[in-house]
Amino acid sequence: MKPIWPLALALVVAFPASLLAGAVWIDPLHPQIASAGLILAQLRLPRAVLAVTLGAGLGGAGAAMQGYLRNPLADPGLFGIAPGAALGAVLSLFLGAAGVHLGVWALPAFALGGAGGAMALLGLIAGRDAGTALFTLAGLMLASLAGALMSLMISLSPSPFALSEIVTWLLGALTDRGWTEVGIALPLTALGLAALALAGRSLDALALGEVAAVSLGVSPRRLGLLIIAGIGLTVGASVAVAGIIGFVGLVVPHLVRPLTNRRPSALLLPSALAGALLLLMADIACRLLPLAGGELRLGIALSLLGAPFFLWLLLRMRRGLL
Amino acid sequence: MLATESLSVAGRLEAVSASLRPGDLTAICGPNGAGKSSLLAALAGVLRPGAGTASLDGAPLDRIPPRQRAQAIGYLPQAGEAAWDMNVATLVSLGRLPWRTSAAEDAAAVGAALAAMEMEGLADRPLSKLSGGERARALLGRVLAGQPRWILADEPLAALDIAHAARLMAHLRGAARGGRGVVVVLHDLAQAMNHADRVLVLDAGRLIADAPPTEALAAPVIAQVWGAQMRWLGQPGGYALAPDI
Repeated sequence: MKPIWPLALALVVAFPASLLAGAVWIDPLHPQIASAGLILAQLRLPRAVLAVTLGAGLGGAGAAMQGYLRNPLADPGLFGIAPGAALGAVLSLFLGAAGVHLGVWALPAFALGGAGGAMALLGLIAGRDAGTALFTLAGLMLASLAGALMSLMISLSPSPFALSEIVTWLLGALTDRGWTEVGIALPLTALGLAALALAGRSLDALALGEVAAVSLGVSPRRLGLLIIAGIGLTVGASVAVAGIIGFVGLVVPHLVRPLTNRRPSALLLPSALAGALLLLMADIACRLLPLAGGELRLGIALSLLGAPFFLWLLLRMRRGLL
Repeated sequence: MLATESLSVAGRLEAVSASLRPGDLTAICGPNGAGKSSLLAALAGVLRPGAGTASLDGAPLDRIPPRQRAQAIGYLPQAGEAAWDMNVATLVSLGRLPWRTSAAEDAAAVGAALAAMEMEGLADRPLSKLSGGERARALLGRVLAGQPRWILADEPLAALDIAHAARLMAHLRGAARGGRGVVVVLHDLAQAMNHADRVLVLDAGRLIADAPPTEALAAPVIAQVWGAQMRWLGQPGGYALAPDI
């Protein structure tokens, strides 16, 4: 439980800082700009709340995923829920470009539908007394199926404009998100994190292996359903409002694990806090980095940060084995 | 009373009926592939029988709520593992998961388990820094921390040196004398001969013998089941097995 307070404190400091930083700097004591209040309330505040929400969801989902698969290299994307949600979103963009009028709610609704579809399929395939291996295989198949369908839609996209819209959206960003997106993501993420918290004790038992976990009273079926619901809600909500934001769920639990006693349940909250902090900081960096043609996309920034970290991790693990 | 009645598991156990008493240290012996681990897993309620029943005090194990069963029966699988590099005290504390007791009660149970495994000095050491034998003791300590009425362990001696193996058997005997039921799968027939109150001998999924060790592990039984000509040397409490030439 040690790392919780420092992380919470850092979050409390970073949150107001993120409100002031950006293309237009706001001096809290002597606001120079007339529209400062509007920028804060309608642009920066929802964006910061969204970064914290999605970061907490992805960090918590990553910690639960690694605990469930007993593998430090597991990522919440493994279950095919993120690709499923992305497929839904791409479908709505594709239909929109093809002239079907869907309205502003279409994209998040389609994405959540995609996440829900992936969750239902996972539950159907792997729901009854499933082991983690079956879960992972089913998830990987769902991910590659969703990926193939997405590529198909991209290759069939009716116009270059639709193509660029799809690709840009897939990169993941918090730009121009408002209270509507907060209203979608916040309740779903909170529900998802609650499901993962309920799975905490079972994840602890699972550290001893599946058979020992059953002997400690864990129901594999209940645990599997809680994990599907928890990962599905957090990851689905994040893809629905911000596109694919990779690596948070993989990297954050790693960074935080050495600070805990390594019980999977003790990692959930610190991971959620650290995920929120990382996404908030990364979003500030995206806004501040000068880049011709607009902001650096959050998804790109995190992957740029995450991939080298992952390679370093593999190197370190390999050295540990030798 | 932990009992099986005509318990069958496809390809592994055939109509095994045995009833085990608390207060006894029962050893399950048999050649490789005889079904020892399957029988222990069925007694622990983690392996669902294909036919027949396993029951605790008359109630079929699959009818008992899982958490209640977990409080009564502690089970150590063969080649136990821990996925994360916890320290010994944290690993042992996982044995408290079936309980919803106060932190003080949990700490007392964990302390007692560490003491029983002679691991108080290693409480803060991460698992990756333990020897194989220390890790095996820590994993058994996890079972003891749950303070189950039944302790079921699958080859708990496999990674232990002779001194720790002897002390562990003495501890398990002590647990049995204290009124717990102890069931262990043992490969070392001398350990079974010297420490068990009762021995179940399995061969190809069938129960061949269910008797005190001197009877169940008599030389003719060993010759029949293991196909090895052996004889016992020494005296009660200090038997050793030697090839009969």
